Amino acid sequence: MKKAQSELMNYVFLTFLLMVAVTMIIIFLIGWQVTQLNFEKSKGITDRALFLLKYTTATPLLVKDVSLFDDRKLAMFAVGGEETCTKLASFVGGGDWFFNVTVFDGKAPVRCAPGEVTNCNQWSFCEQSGRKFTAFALPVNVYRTFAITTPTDFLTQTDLGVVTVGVYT
Amino acid sequence: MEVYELFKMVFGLIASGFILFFLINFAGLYAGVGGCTGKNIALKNFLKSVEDVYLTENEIDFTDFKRLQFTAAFQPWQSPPAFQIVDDATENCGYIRATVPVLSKPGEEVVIDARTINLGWWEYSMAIVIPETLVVFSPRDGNDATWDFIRDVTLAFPETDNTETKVRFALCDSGKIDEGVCGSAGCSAFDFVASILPATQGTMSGACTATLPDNALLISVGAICDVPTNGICVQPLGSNGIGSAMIANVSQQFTIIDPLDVIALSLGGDEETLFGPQGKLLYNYKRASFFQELGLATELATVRALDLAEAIHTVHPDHRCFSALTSFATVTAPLIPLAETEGKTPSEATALVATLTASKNAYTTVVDLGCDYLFT
Amino acid sequence: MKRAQTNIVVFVFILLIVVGVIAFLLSAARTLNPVEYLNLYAHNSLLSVLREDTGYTDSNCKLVSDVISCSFFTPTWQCDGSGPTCRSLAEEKITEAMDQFEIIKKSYRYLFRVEPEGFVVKDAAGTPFSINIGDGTLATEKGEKITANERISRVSQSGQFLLKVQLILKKK
Repeated sequence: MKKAQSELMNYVFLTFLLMVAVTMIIIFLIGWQVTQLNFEKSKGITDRALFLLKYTTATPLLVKDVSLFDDRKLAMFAVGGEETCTKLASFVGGGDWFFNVTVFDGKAPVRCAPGEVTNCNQWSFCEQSGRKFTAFALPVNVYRTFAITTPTDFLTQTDLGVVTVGVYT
Repeated sequence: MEVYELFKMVFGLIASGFILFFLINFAGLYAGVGGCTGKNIALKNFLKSVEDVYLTENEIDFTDFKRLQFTAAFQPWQSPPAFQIVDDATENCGYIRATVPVLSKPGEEVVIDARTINLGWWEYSMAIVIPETLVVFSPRDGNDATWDFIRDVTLAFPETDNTETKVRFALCDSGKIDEGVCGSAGCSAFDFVASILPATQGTMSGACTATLPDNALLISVGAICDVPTNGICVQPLGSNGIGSAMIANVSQQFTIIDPLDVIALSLGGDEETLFGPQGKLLYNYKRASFFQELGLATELATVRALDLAEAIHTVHPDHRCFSALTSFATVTAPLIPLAETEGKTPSEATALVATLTASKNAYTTVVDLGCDYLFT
Repeated sequence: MKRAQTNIVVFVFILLIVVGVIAFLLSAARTLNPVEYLNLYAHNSLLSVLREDTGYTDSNCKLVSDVISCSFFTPTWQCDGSGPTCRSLAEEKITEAMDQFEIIKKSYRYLFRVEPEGFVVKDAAGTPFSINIGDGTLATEKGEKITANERISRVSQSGQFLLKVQLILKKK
């Protein structure tokens, strides 16, 4: 009798453990799917940020040549403000993103005011504070007009800089 | 049989049933999700390919849809437009938003290319997605304008000598389609353009009544256009720089200012959607996209030109670039309000084209004076 | 019998845990920096350095690419007459630029290498001449490296000469 009871309990216990194992497999698979979905989402944001980086370094609205920004084109964006930002964003699928171009000139970063090109070295657009983002940066050149003025002419100069493009999450 | 043995059987059956229920449920769910997951990944890869071609203008084939047996239908009425997965399954697998200007016709194997409208001081690019296609031109008269326009439109389609998916060109006269215009069957864009001469073709004027293959796009071109029964009919650009076109079975006339308008109308054709013929929707989308970008580009360019001119004048009052930039700004500024009309009516289109031409000419003066290094 | 059953159950549990950990690690192992971005970064680093103005107006020294070309053919040429030599200016500008790029991507060793293309230049010892700025061991080191290539040309009375400029990056 006792042996039969013990065998019965053994059997029930074994089956119960097997059920627990199967349930754990199911939960694990669901969890893995969720991880994959989250990964795909962050990959989507990364892909978007990369595309916007390539776009901003190639659009004639901002550059003279690929990765060669024109400081006056950048200044015109500053004139337009948020409305210009939104318009540019709408050409490439909308969404919240920002870009920032900073020149490596050894000076402290000075934001360029609308129309200002000579005494500043940083242009920022569509930035929103307090938000998380995924960003990429690339070395670029910035073509500065009126870098040097002489009595008979004015000179332009190509400086080294960095462009940072980020997508808000 | 012992009670214990019976208990083991019954308990085993219940436990097995429970396990099987969960496994089948999960497998069914996963199979559906898994199938759609694969298609969504293919769609994302497709969008990435379109973005890359848009940026680099390097033409590529895209064949991932064939493996998973679905196509991506372009929905230009959405804002922004979207590519919708179209397959045999009953569930809706999803869509993805287009992130660059694109004109698309669905297919399991497509070629992706980009085309640019260059104004000198600015250029507008658009990606084109097209499956294996036979573009059939039906010239309705022997005018130079007709043949020149056929060549321009041909060059707006992708050149597919180096791709697996082919876009071929042929001529149609009455009941006969000639696919060997270039000397061999299946002419690519460059071969077709090099081969078509009115003198060698003779005068073709008969409406195309031949039976067209399923993948054919019929474009009739001539000085006179009625509502066609198949494809589109286009009146070439006149001396005022505008033409017009009609889609089969649609009574509306569409103004044409560049070959991309024709591409938009012909890729969509008279295929019916919930929001009207696809050709009309693609045309409206192309216009809106082009003129929105033109509006912003003009705004930035004119303000910049004046700003630059003023700065030059302050430092060097007699500098040659001052008057060139000022003239350019003056001539180009009217494009801002004109762009908002999108040139839908003939009079609006005429005014737009005239201003675009004047702007291009003013920019040529900027270049001739060596001031484009400051401006472009 | 019971011991065997217990062993089977324990075995199943351990197998589950091991499989779960492997699967989790595999899914988490995908890189955060896409290869495409790193290639773009390397190419842009090279291109932007070559296009930079040095501040000198001498045609041999105006852009960094001019200075590199000059340092290959006439390394002792003095920029603007009394300035630094082409060779020292090339070294200065490239080192300065790569230091500035540290802000963007930290912990990368670099090698800037200039070699003739289509012709051979030998030094006094008879070995093929090239300019190397940065970590010279990167050229022959094995392991994952990112490389960007550009060409610069120099036109002289003797004809046109092409130089291959290569930037090699490797994580520290």
